[in-house]
Amino acid sequence: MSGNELLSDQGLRIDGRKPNELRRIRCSLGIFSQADGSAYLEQGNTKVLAAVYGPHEIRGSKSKALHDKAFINCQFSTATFSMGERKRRPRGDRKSTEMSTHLEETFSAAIRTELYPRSQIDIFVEVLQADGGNYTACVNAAMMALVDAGVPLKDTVVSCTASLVKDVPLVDVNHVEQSGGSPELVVSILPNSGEIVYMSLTQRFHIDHLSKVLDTAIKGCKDIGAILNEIMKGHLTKLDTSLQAS
Amino acid sequence: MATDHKTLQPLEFYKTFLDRKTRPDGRSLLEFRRMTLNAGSIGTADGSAIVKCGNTAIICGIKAELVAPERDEPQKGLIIPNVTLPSLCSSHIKSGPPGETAQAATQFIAELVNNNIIMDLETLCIKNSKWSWVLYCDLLCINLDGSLLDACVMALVAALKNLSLPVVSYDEEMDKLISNIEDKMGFHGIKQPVTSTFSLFENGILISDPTFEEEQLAAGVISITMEGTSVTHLYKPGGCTLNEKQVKKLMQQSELKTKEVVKLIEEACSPMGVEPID
Repeated sequence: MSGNELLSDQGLRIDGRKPNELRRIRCSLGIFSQADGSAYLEQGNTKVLAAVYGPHEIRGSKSKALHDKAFINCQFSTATFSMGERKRRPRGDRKSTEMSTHLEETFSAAIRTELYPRSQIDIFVEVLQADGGNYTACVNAAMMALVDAGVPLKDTVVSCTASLVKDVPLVDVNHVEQSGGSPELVVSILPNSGEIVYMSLTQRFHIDHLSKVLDTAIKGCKDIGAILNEIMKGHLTKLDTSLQAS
Repeated sequence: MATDHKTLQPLEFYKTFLDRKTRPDGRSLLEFRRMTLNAGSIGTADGSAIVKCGNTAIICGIKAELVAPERDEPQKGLIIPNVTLPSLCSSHIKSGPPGETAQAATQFIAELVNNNIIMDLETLCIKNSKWSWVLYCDLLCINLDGSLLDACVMALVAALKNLSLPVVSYDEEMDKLISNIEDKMGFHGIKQPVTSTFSLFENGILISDPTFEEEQLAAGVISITMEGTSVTHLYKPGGCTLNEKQVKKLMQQSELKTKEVVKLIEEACSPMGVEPID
């Protein structure tokens, strides 16, 4: 698909959004009884579940234990029915493993791992419906689950994507835009300090465009961060009132 | 105090409740947990349903493909069930290849499918020995708290009822399939089996719809699958023994649950513009 179709003459995107408009975000926390923390997040049609277990003692081989900080174990998996074509392997393939590693690295930058030496924190994410920005949705959902679990964080982590079509930067790219051949810049930041913890770019564009695309992505991150902050506050207030009532 | 007792002597703790004919979560012995059902919430699947039985939650997503039928059964389509218990669903599940519980549950569902308890597989055939539908039914457990089979069967039936596929027909002269993406169809004749799980304790006490904790403590488990008033499948994998009187009592209970579940599925899967075909 050419760039012309991705951005109409009126400056609207294929799903009717403006270039700087995010998809609708819905999120609920504490949805599972078994996990220590859990969250369900929708970013447009991308739907993700996240569960956090821990900190607990190391499971499996004890050699994974780190003497000065917690070991973070992430597992990214996509439901077989989450995409247009049925996915044969929900986890364990190269792409999922890569995604798991990225998540591990992102969260080891945000979690105060030094507080839990020789222990383990498990973060499981499951994509139920994929419509672009899977990594983004996973990071945001996992962060909410960590908050629900009460794991100490240096700062919240939020993630957002941005693209460039006809020299116009687009925020929060969906599947059609992603697979339509436009570049995709994924950024995760710590919104309070503004530090970038993760960044990746697929496809090339001229370096002159980088700063404006990056700015768009960071702006998107901050906007998502603000939305998630509100949801978090709402959840915690509700929890507080129910605790006081009992 | 109570939590100490529970941690140190879980079975004793539990038995003090059973002696008073009640359970720690406030249910009476033969009471089922509250069930919720939501059909068609996964847009990328051809049919989907989310079931919650108490805390146990299952998502069923169906993806359909067209294949040539198996050579020994040329008039039948295929349903391939797969129960996944990812490590997300419980702290007791280790990551890695599917464990015993998941494999046993998959086998249980496969048995229901192959015995035509769920639906007549011949309706999935488009052209004898040439083309048939294969339905990959993936059951994903997102929260495991006992009575896995009950929730799985319910989710599978609801997702099959929610299924919407393009109408495909076979052209004899051209020897190919013709389909129109616009026209959607569902399948008629999806039966409504309902599985009810019970746990047994050594002193002859029976409880309905056990939680994960109760399943661990109990001496045995029995799953009864019924359709309407007839029993279609029984599954009692060892454990302690049962007498005839107890079996009768359980049948009555499962009949009650069957009625409730059928009502729930019908409410959730009322056709929305999709006409089932014969």
